[in-house]
Amino acid sequence: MAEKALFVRKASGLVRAIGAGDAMIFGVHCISLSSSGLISFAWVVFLWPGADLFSLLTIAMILCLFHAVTYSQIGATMPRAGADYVFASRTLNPTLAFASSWTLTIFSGVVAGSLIAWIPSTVLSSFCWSWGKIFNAPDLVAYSQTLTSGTNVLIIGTIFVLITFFTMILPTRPILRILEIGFILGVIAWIIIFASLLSASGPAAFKAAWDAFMGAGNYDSVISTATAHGFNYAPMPAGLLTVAGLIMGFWIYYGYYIPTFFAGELKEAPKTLLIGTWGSLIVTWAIFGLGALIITKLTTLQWMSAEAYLFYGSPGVMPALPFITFYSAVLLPNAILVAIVMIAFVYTLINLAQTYFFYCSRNIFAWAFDRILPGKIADVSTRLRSPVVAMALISLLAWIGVVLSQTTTIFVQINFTLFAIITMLVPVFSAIIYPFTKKDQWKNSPSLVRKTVAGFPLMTLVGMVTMGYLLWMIYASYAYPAVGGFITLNTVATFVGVFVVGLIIFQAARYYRLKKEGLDLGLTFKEIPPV
Amino acid sequence: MTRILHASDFHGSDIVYRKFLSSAKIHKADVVIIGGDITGKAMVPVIEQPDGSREAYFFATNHVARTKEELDELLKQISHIGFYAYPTNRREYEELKGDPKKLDALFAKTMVERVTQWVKLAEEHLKGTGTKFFMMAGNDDIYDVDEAINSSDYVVNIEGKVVQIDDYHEMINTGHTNMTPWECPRDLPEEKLGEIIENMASQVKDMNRCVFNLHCPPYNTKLDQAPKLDENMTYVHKGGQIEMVPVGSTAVRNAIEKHQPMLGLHGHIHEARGFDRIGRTLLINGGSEYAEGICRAAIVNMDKDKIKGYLFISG
Repeated sequence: MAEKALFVRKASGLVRAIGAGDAMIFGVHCISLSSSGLISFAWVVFLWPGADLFSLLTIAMILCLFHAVTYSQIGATMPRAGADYVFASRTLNPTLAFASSWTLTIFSGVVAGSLIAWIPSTVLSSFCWSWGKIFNAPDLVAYSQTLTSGTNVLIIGTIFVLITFFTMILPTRPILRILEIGFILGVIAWIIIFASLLSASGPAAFKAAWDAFMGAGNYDSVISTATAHGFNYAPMPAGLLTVAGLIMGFWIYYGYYIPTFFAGELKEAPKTLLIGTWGSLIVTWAIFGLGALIITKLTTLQWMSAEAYLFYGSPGVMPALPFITFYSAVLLPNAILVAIVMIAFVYTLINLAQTYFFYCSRNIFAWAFDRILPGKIADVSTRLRSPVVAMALISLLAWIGVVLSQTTTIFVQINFTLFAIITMLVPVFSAIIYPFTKKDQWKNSPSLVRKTVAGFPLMTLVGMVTMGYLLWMIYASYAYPAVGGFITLNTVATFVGVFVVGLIIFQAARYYRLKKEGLDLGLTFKEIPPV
Repeated sequence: MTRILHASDFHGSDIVYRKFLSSAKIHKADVVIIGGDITGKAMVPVIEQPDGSREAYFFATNHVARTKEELDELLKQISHIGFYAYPTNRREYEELKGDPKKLDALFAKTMVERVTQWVKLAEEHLKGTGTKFFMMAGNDDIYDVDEAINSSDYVVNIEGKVVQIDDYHEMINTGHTNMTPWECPRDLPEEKLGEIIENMASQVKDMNRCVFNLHCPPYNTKLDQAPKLDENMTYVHKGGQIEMVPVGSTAVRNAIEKHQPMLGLHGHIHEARGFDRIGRTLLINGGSEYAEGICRAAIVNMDKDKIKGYLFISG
């Protein structure tokens, strides 16, 4: 029957869906055109010297597509705030689900602070350094060092935490406008970076431009100086390095699935979410992948790794700055263009912190709805129509993140990625078993969720691939020293400690509600059989 | 202590209603309240094909039933998502398509039939258990359904009435809402809605212990945030995100601000599940996920002079 035979009466709620393109834009924001843009070309080559950057970005993107399907399915199955917690608590176990969500939220809040600390310690300082080098302003080069001091990071970081807080308690419209501007700025910045890189005719032009600003012979001395200070290029086969580095690929794309936490109320949400998350992955892969292809036409991965080593692994040996923004600036040293890129990167980094605040607040809402935390915590200001209390709590976490960024490496982003991955095991395992443990609900779920392949639930199949990807990244973090160097006993103890606190909070809340209010929280999570 | 189980916006979903009845038993509710929007929004013609199979189109997918078992399963699936399955043939389908009056009459008939079935189910499962059963229509429900609710000697149609929940608490009730973009059967201008509420409030003996069971949530709270629509009924979005706006009733808000009842029970905005406060009044919207077959409801434990606790359930 080609005809869509359906009679619809005049009733409320029958509206058309948001465009998938818009969901994609939000996903791109969550991935971040700034921080991911910097770490793709600096951290990957530093931590996995010898890994093929383009292949890593591509393999990680493909595996993230599976992860995106799993999270779209989770969001489509239970389209609510904090969907992964809601789904896992109803499918697997509420205590475990809460502890996982709690751990992810605590670390997300803290890492948002760590990202904010990046503004003075990395982004502003590197831009001051670049500007000083390129436009011959030695005072700025010196000032770039001042910016990275603990006190300055704390002061500037605190200011940016406050900026993020105050922007996030604004009514929806200005917040959306702020994000919109960030997206446009981010795209413009990347157009400038590509145009600058493409302005070079080849490696010789890049080398000449580099030496013009960094000093004659500097380019050629990068690899030898790094090697003399312990740099070891390609310690393992390139293929193994590439798959070992997938956790960094995951970190680069981290955030594409965040719209699933609040876009659930959309009509045709499964389709919109899937296209949105896939779209944001593909768009950012195209941007960073194109960047990788262009930059490796101008220089080698070995040189980039050595430059990154001199910056991160052996600072002070010789001036170094392994950021694509700097590479493009030396090729096209135009003050206006460099300034636009700088403003765009700082602005979109704030946008990234804003998306973390947004996402954490949704988890807090979900816990408050389930009465695990006091309702006050999810209060929405009548005047501003925004969750001021939740945002204040997340800001406090972020501020702690700024402080801790100066004293410990436990909350560095790579550790956060590992923590996030571990907490995802609970919802992803829930997705694998859902078609079997909640058969009736699964049968009535949207088509994306209830699809089968040769009679086997797609949700389970994709969930298993996603689970394999997550488990591999956990294993690789320990197995390969590039990441393992960051993961100490303290790191693991911190994770376990926060997780255990989550378990205790859930049980304490359950006890309190039962004793004081006569309500068993456990009933919230129970399936209701029909009469 | 009195335990209330409140839910609304089932929109014809048979499975959600059955789960709701079940949860009344599981949670040992003293009072069960259905707060409106009980009827479905669409009818699915299940059309007989020349080869004897039946075809139905819903949720952007064409469904085919070739055997009796498949047909039963299809009809069940349609009722679970809140739609009305209508087994028919091509000729009648074309006739209905061209005759809006006949289609309206058929819609009304099927809606009343399902509400009648639901009332009977409630009697079957809860009558004699000591649980009070209150039901009212919402803004999406045609007036014909009132008769189906009134036909019961157990289920009480509470629309426009002040009812006694227990020895201490009274409750005022209406499924009318302020005007929506769809101009539904029970949409009213704010002034008119305000009059209905005031008329009931004036009959309440002790407002401190009163419950306002009003389908429409008060304006500008957590319970009334809905996507903004443009003139083409399309979501307005900014920066890749939907723009949310308050769509609740100012008349409801004014009444709650003025009378400060103990509790406000609301529905209407499915996605705005949550709780809020206006002064001393606790406001609750259990939300709705009827199309997914998920029952959402709120349990409220009431002591004589205060709300002891509340909890959202879903499943």
